[in-house]
Amino acid sequence: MVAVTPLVVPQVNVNDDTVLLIRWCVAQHGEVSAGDIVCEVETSKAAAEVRTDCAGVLVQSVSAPVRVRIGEEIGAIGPTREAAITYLETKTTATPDADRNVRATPKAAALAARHAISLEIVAGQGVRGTIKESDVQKFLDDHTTAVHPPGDQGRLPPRLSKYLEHAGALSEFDAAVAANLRQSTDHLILTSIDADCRLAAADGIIRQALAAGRMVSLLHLIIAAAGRVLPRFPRLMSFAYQGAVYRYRTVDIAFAARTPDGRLYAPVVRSADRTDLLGIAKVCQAEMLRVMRGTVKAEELEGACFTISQVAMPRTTRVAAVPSFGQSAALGVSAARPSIALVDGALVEQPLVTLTLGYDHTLCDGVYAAGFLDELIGDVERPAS
Amino acid sequence: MTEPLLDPNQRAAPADPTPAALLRRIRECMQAVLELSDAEAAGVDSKTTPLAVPRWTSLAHVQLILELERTFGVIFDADEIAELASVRAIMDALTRPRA
Repeated sequence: MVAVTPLVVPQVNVNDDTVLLIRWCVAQHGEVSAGDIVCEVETSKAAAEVRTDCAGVLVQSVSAPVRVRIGEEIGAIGPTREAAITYLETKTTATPDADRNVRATPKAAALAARHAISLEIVAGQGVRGTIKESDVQKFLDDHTTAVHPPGDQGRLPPRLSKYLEHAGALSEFDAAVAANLRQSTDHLILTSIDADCRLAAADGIIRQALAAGRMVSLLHLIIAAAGRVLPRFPRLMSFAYQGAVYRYRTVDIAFAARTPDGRLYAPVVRSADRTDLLGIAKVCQAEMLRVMRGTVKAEELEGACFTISQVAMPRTTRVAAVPSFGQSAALGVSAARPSIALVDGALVEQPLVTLTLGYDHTLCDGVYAAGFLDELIGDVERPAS
Repeated sequence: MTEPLLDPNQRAAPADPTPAALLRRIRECMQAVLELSDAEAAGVDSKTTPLAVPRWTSLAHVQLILELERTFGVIFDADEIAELASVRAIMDALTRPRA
């Protein structure tokens, strides 16, 4: 009988209790030979390859990327797939649950969910790092504006309190939005770059649609263009986290939507790269209506790789958009303004907008970002017929 | 498909089948939401599209749809509203037989 060999996370760096399993190098149920590299892990100092010293069929018990403990079993290699699966299923040692990245109490998870906070960035003070409700509350206290009852300005620095008076509590909604953006800005090396986009062609498309009774706007056009261009700039739809780079699987693009009472939402156009302009217009209008009706669900606002925010208020010439946590780039769109352009040797008036790309310098530099803006603007200014 | 609104607290107007009356009430909704002057509102007819009304933007369109829902006691299918960007399309949607 040939034994099944557990695949255990090796101690790569003496200072680390955990490592990040970056990726598997062998497919699930793939065959391996002694000496093969089966996966890559990352410590606090470096990346390392994990090799097997036996041959057989690999059965993974965790999906990458994931943070795992030193000594933890992350799979098994057996003479057959069934043997390895049986070994893993009957293993009596406690297997950490699927949510091994984050151990949190239900109350903590609920509080984090209410405030749209990822538990992965909350420090757990409970047993074996379990995140308790008080840990989440402490995170909120540290990362959102403190809320005080009227007359209580005890936490305001004395040098400020003599100049300020209490003007009301920050709403839970605003606090949640702020927490999300704080998470993002704490995490990114946020840089921005601008470029102007002429709207002669876009105006023609929009006017044609409006004349036919279809509500198509510049925002819809830019979402459609971004859907076509983003796949050529994968770093803008990726996210750097704890030394690893993660890439979104689909080109889902969020757009900022503001209710009349000032609440900000970011509904999502799914698979924008595979949706035509009218389809995008339909989704945007439908999502805006759901936001206004208050029927949009939290999970419908998740998963976008990129956000576009348009502030079309007159005289707005630059909009610095902040990516949501989990994204590395966002596009701000200014109001349209008149400009003079030289067309076929003649000066003509053409409206333009300024597009401002906010991006994480961890993943891309100014040349890369400028390349994206150039292609995006080219798509808007010279749309394919 | 536009569905009848079931909430009895909604301020649904009584049914009035004449096109002229329907247009008048749509015009009132547009005047309120799009902040049209009396002269601008008077110029709204069944052929009017956002091209003729600069304040009829995509955001204002959503607000107009909500106002129409309140006024006529209906709920529009969210997926159809992008194609209701003309007075004619709105009139058709409001008079379409309901399931």
